[in-house]
Amino acid sequence: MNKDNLPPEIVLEAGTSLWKDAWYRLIRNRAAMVSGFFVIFLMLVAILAPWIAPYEFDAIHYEDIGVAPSLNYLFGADVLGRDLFTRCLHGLRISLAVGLVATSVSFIIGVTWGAVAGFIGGKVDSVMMRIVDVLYALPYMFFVIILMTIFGRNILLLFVALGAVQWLTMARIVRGQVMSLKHKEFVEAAYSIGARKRLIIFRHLIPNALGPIIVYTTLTIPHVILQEAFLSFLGLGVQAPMASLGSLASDGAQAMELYPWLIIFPGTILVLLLFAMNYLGDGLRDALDPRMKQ
Amino acid sequence: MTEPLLSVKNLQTEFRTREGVVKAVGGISFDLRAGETLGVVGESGSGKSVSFLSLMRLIPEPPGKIVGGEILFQGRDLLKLPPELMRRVRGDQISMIFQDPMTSLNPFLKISRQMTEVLEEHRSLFGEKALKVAIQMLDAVGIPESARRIHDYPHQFSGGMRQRVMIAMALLCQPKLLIADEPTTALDVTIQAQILELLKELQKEFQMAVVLITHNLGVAAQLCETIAVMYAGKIVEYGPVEEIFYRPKHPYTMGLLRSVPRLDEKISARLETIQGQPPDLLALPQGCSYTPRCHCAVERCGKEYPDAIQLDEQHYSRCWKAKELT
Repeated sequence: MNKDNLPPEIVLEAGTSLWKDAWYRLIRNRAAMVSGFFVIFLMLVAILAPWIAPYEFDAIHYEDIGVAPSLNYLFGADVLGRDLFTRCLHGLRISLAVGLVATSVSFIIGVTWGAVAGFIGGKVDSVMMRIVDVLYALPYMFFVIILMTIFGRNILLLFVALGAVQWLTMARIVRGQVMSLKHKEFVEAAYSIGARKRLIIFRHLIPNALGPIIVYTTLTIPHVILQEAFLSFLGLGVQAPMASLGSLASDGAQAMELYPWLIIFPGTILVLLLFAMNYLGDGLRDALDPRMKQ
Repeated sequence: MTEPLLSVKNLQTEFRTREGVVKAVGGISFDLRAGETLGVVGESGSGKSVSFLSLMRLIPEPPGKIVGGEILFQGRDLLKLPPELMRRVRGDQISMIFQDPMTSLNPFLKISRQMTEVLEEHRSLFGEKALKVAIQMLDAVGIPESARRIHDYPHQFSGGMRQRVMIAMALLCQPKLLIADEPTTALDVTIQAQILELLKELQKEFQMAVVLITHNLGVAAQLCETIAVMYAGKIVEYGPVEEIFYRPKHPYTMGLLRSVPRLDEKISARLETIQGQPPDLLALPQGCSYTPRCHCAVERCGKEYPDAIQLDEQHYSRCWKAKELT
């Protein structure tokens, strides 16, 4: 077959890319689509929070302490007379940012670390995974507290601290996947056609490990959001008067006997967000697997 | 006689395991001319696949190691090539087809992507150009509606079709040498015949040398001009296909042939088997490794391993009694 004078009768048919295919499969998954739109909606709301919110997030209205939900205060007002709707919007903002940034950090470090360790194997793998083990063994709270005391309380640092801890499990998952995949015949076949190592890792190994990676990522986002809530609860996370969904819920929990809406609203948003993330993750995993029917 | 395309000289491959050194390939030598077909037969663990994985330098190192020998391919010693140059030989000059088409294709990538990958790597063909070449090759291996099918995923093909795709991928760069490692083992008999027929046609069309690794003597007889019989990491008999099948000169080859049902003989009560077990490659006996199972072994067999004894112009056997056997 001479590459320069191809017979003209070959008519190319348009193919679709993996991503396009995945997109079609995702559209057909109703639960995932609804969740997806919901997540996007929450993100938009979070981004636009300063413009949507009727009040400043730290504006205190002494005359309206603990007012029930009304037209003035959609979600009611808290024990200091701050508008809960406004605070929920800002809290959502922080929570989503923490979730996304920390998860991206964990995703990038974890996948690369795990893939390299699993692919190279041998001594390199041993050393890399022992590092992971050591970090695993380090008490997580202890680690975060040290970071906070050394570098001072900073929202950025919170992101880093959370991400830096979350990548460990990801690295283990990816390593396991890569180790089992690298002995598959299609990888050997890829070598036999002269593929480069980089190509083998990024085109043959990681896509095949994508399922567990995506599921774990979507589980990590809610996990990180909850972790942040926990840190805020301990006073290590977001500092008042700033709020996150987690800190709002924990504040609300203290006052819920008198003002139940203080926990109901942030709690509901948090739960819905986590639900949507999980459904979206499931949908993505199915969509990215070409072997799924439809 | 022209210069052979491939000339393997005393190739030795070992695996260093915790239990000791496994001598998987214990010094094999053979020549292969352009356009020729060599069948490599032998039972499991006789070193067939490892020999040719060594040739492609695809042995996992460690634990594997090619400890000696030369592999002259078009005059260049493949064992001395730097890895980057060797990578360029694979898939371009020498291609390989694997046993199981179900697992040899990446389930996540479309056929088109996997095929164009080869062309991008070796021919710097991209996009539509590469796609056209790939489609043409799918036509050549008999995939109907290739222009549409190329956009399918591996799981949308049947086993036989996948093996055709694998063959098409291997042939994209028109290799000088195709190594087919049990290409029909995972397929059912009717498909096997089709694939063999296809290989035969393609071999003629593309003028390439083919090495067919198989444990199926029938398959080897159908496709090959020359047969190499391997036992315990060594080629014990080598010769033209008629010689091997009708005038075998090594007790192992004779045993193998007697253990296969034949149409031209009366149905006897039971097929013969070769008694005993294949040798432990960790501790090969001194002398000929077939001695413990051989019905005509003499004292000398347990002490010295004979070099190849030439029986005919092209027929060699590594047996002390090669000339006496009938």
